[in-house]
Amino acid sequence: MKKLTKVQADFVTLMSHELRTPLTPMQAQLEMVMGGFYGSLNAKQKRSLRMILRNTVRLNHLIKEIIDLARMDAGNMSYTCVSGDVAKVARQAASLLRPQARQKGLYLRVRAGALPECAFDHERMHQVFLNLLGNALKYTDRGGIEIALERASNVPQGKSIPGMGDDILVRVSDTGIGIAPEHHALIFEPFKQLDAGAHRVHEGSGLGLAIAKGIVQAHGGRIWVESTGPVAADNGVRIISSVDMAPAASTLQATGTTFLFTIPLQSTRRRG
Amino acid sequence: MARIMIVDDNKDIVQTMQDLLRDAGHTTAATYGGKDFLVKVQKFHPDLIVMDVMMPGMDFKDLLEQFLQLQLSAAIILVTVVRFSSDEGVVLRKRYRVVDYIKKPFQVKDLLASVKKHTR
Repeated sequence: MKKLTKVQADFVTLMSHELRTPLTPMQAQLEMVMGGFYGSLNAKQKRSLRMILRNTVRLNHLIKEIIDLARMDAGNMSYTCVSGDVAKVARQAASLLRPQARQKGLYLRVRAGALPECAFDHERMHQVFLNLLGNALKYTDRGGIEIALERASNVPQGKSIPGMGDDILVRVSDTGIGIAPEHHALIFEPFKQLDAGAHRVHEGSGLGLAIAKGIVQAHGGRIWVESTGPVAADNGVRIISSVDMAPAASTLQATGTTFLFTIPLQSTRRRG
Repeated sequence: MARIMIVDDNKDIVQTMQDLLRDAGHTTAATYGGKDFLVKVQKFHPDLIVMDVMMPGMDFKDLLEQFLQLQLSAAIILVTVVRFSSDEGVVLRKRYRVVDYIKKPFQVKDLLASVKKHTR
């Protein structure tokens, strides 16, 4: 069994290398041409190359997701846990996606209480935030997204979850279309998209949430979703026009989706 | 500027890196791995080596071990798709003078920034 796992792991590593190798000169040469390395370009050439680069980056991201999932499946995902500030990682992820949020007219904010440092894999946790935020952005057309971080022990009585102890509790909430309760378990499975099929509206591989779940669980945490929806079109929600404007509480949409996950303060990391 | 040797079995990656590094003012040489690298590096005497970790037919650590025996002073940047553990990182740094890692596929600015940092 151990030999099979090693064979699997070696295969995944080899595939990761082989798939990413041709992408390397593709992406680099595109950047070079677009940056004027070989001379100036006209507007149409720039537009064409931007399209190619955008799709090359998308392809690279998809390959990364597939490889990550394969590694998790083979029990070969490695983690390097270093003490740090989870809120800082959340803010970094948010700042990466804020331009996309602005384009859609959505707010994207991070709210963090006083948090102790804890040991976690910064790159992988960044990936969790990006995946959850990306998911929220995809399914939210009005209002916005908020990341809230606090100690689980600060959660009011009646709202706390048994067994959370003193973990850090992260909520990624959006005012989007929501997820019906019967789909809550399904969405964390690989390749499951609620609008999958020939007429699907939203792009994506359906791997982001499965990967986020794998990373959180490898840190000894839990991840789950709270949501009501889908939301009716005539719910009377005011459209927020500026991403920097925090809406008043009374105008917040009552429905949407919140992904919650915990990060233990005491590392119980396992190879995932 | 610096003398930089590129070690990768993919000719397009080698060409791309050479174009970028020469444009940045460096002198470059290229090899596609293995024995060719061990011969050429002794003639070229690079300040810095940019090396892919997965080349067919050889383990990069075996190659680094053989390079170590040549007692040349070049620092090494590894181009990789895998993450090394902390323990592996310590060995790579202390024993083989690996000073940085670049993920594949790399962004142009990341390659140039890493080379600039380690060729001052």
